[in-house]
Amino acid sequence: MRRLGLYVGAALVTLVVAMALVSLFWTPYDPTLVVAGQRLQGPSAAHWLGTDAMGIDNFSRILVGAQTTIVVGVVSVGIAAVIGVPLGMLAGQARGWVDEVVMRITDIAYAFPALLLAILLAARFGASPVTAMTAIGLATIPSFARITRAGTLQVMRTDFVLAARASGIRWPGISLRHVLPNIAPLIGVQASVTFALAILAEAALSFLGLSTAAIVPTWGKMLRDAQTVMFNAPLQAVWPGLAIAAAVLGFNLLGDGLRDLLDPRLREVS
Amino acid sequence: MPVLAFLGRRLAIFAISLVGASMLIFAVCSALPGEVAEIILGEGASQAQIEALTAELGLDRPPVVRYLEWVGGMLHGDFGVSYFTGQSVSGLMAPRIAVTLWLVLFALLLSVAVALPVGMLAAMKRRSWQGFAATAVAQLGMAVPAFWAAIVLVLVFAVGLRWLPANGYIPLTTDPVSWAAHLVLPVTSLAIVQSAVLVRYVRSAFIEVLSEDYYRTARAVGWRPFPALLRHGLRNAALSLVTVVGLQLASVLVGAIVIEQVFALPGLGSQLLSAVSQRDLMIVQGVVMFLAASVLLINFLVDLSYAWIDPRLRTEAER
Amino acid sequence: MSLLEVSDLTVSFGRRRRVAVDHASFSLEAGQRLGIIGESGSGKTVTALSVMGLLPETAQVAGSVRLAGRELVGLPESQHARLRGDLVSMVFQEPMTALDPTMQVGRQVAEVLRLHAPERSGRARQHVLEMLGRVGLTDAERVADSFPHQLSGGQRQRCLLAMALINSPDLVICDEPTTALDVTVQARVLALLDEVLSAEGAACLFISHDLAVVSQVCSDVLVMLDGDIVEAGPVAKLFTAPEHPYTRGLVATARIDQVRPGERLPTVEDFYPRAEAR
Repeated sequence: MRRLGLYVGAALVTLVVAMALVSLFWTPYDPTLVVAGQRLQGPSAAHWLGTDAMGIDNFSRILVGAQTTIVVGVVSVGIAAVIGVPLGMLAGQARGWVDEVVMRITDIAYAFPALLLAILLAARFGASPVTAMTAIGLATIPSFARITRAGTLQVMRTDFVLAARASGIRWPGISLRHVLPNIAPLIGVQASVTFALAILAEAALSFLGLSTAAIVPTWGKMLRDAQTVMFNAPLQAVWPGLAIAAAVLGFNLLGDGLRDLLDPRLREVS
Repeated sequence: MPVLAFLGRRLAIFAISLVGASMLIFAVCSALPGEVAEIILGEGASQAQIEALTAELGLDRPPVVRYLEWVGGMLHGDFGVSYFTGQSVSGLMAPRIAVTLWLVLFALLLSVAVALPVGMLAAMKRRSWQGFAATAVAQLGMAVPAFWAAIVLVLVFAVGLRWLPANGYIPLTTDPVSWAAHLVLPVTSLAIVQSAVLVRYVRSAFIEVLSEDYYRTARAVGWRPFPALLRHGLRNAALSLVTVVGLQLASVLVGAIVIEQVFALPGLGSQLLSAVSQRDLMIVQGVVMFLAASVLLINFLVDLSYAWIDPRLRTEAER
Repeated sequence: MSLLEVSDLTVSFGRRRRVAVDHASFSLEAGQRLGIIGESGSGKTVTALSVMGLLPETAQVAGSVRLAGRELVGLPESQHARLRGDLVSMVFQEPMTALDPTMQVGRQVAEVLRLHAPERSGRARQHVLEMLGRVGLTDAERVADSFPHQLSGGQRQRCLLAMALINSPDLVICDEPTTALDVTVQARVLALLDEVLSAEGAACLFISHDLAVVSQVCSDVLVMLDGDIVEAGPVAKLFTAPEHPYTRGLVATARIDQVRPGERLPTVEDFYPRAEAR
C-alpha cells in the first residue's frame, strides 16, 4: 500500500514510453492519413478510439502524440537540469554574494511561469516546438537551482565534506565527488515532477496553437481540434485528455514515490 | 525592530525583480530593432522599406534610450502604442483587466476554500481511508489540464444540462446575475487544478502542525483534534501556506490565459494571445510586463503578510 | 475510592502489537504524589498518555483506567476532551516549543479557562494574572502580553504550569517537566511545583528518569522497566531497601555522593545486566 503510488507511477510512465517507442515503428493507421469518408466516427473494432474531424485514426494519433510528450519532457528537463543544477551547487558552496545573486535571479524567474515565457518567446521568434521546449526548460531552472542549493547546503554541513575540505580538496572536486552523488536522488525526484509540469505546459501551448506545426499530432493539438467539434463529437475531447492526465499522473506519482523511498534523509529539503 | 529590516529587504528585492523582469521582457521583444519592422512589413519587404519603417517608429535609437522611455512611460501608466494600429496599449488593456482579475481572484479563493478543509482532513486522517482518498483525488486533480477540465465542464453543464452558458462574458455592471453565471465554469475549471496542488501543501503543513508540541499542549488542555488544529494550527500553517498561495498565483494567472481562450472571455490573456498571433510586440511586451509585475507585487504583499502573521518578526525577543 | 485506579493497563502499538505497557496496575489517592521512574521506552510516558487519552491512533489499549470513578479506556474523545485541562491536566517536557508561537501566552492561559469554565470567563484576565502570579511570575501583566519567544524557558514552563492549574484539576501529570531546563532553574521550578501542588491540593503523577528529582516532589514511586512495573513503594523505602536489581542500580547511580573519590562511578548495568544490548 505504501508504495502503491510508486508502482502505479512507474507503470504509467512505462506505458507512455512504450507508446512512443512502438509508434516509431508501427501504428494501426497512418497518423496523418486523411480519409474523407470516415469523419468523427465513434469507437469501433477498426478504429478503437474512433476517427477525428479529418477522418484520421485517433488511436494512431494518440500513439504518435506520446513521442512529442517524451521529447518535450526530456529536452525541457535536460535544459533545466544542465543549467539549474550547477547554478544551485555554486550558490550552495560559494554562499555570500554569489548565493544572493543566484537566488535573486530565481526570484525574478518565478514571475515567469513556463507558459508565460513560452508565449513571450513565441511572440518574438514564432511558435515552434523549439521555443516551447526552450521556454519550459528556462522557466523550470529556478526550481532545480533551489532544490540543488538546499541539498548542497545540507551535504556541505556533513562531516565527510568538512574532512575533504580540511584535506585540501578544492570545490570542483568536492562538487563532483561528494555533492553531486549525494544530491542525485533529489535531482531525480525534481526531474520527474518537472517532467509532469513540462507535459502540462506543452499540452497547453499546443492547445493554444503555440507549439507544434499543424501536421505533427500532439495531445494538446488533438484537444484543440476536439474543442471545435465538441458540440457534435464530445468523445473527441476524452482520449487526448485522458492521455495527458495519465502521463502527468505517472510522472507525479513516480516523483512522489521516489521521494518517499528516499525518506527521511531528503524530506526536509524538498 | 527586525520587522523594518525585513520589510526593507523585501522591498529592495521587489524593486530589483521588477527591473530585472522589465529588462528581460524588453530584451526579448524590442532589443533588436530591425525585426519589428520586418514582422510588420511581412516577408519580401526590401531592406530600404525596413530601414524607413524602423526610423519612422523611432526604433533606430539606442536600445537603452528606448528601454528607459518604455519604463518611464509605464511609471505614468503609459504602456506604449501598438505598432500596427497605433492604439494605446494601456487603453487596450484597461477594460480587460477586470475580467482577468475576477477570474483569477475567484479561482484562487475557491481553491483555498476547497483545499483548506480537504487538506486538513487529509492530514488528520492520513492513516485511514479518508486521508488516502483525499490524497488520491488531489493527485488526479493535479494531472488534469485546466483546459480539458473546462471542455468537460462545458460539455456537462452547458451542453448537457444547460444550466450555465458555454462561453462569453457579461460585465458586472450590465447584469450581475449573468456576470456570475458566465464566470462559474471558467472559475471552477481553473480552481480544480489549483486546489489539487494546494491540498498537498495544506496536508503537509498540517501534518507538521500535528507533530508540534503546541498542538499536543492544545489537546492536553481540552481541545478536540479539529478545533485544536483550527485554533492553534491555522496561523502556524499559514506561515508556510501563504508563500505557496503567492507562488500559486503565477500559475493561476497563466492558467487564466488558457481558460480565457476556451471560454472566449475578453481578458488580458485573450488579448495577449491575439497580439502574439499578430506578432504585435508592443502589446505583448505591455501585457507580459503587467502580468509579471502583478505576480511580483502579490509575492511582495505575501512577504509583508508574514510580519502580520508571525509575531517573532513583529516583536523583539527580550532575552 | 482512589482518585486514579489503573488496573491491568496494556498498551501496544502498530500492526505488530509492540507492547509498550504490559498489565500495569497502580492507584493514586487524592492529593497523593506518585513518581514513575524509568528509562526512555520503559512505558512511563505511554502510561501517562493513556490517562490523558492522547495516545496516537495506532495504539491499542486494554485494561482499565478509572479517574474519579469514571472509566477512561474506551471513553469517546468528545467526553475525554472535556476532562482534559479540567479534572486532569498535563505539563510536558519541552517548554520551549509547547506554547503556540503565534499567540500571547495570556490568551493561551485564558483559553483553558474559557474552554472549561465559560461562566468564569467574564473575569478571565483577572484569573489569568492571578494564576500567573501564583506560579511565581512577578510581572504577570507583561508576561501575559508576551509571545512565547519573548520569554525564557523557565518563564514558559511556569506559564504551562499556570495553564495546567487554572481550572484546579484533581490530578496533574508532569512528564519530565524540568529536564529541558538549566539546573538552577530546574531546582526553582521543582520547588514551585511542590508549593503550588500543596496549595491546590492536587494529586500528581510525576514522570522522570531521575530518582533525585522524583524524591524531591513525590512521596511514592513506581519503577518501570520495559513496560512492567518492577517495584513500587514509598520513596524512602526505595532508597534504603530497593528490592529489584534494576532499582538498586538506579539508587546507586543517584547516590554518586557516596562514591569514594578515585573509584569508578557505578552504572545501572553493574546491578542489572540486560539480556540483550539495545
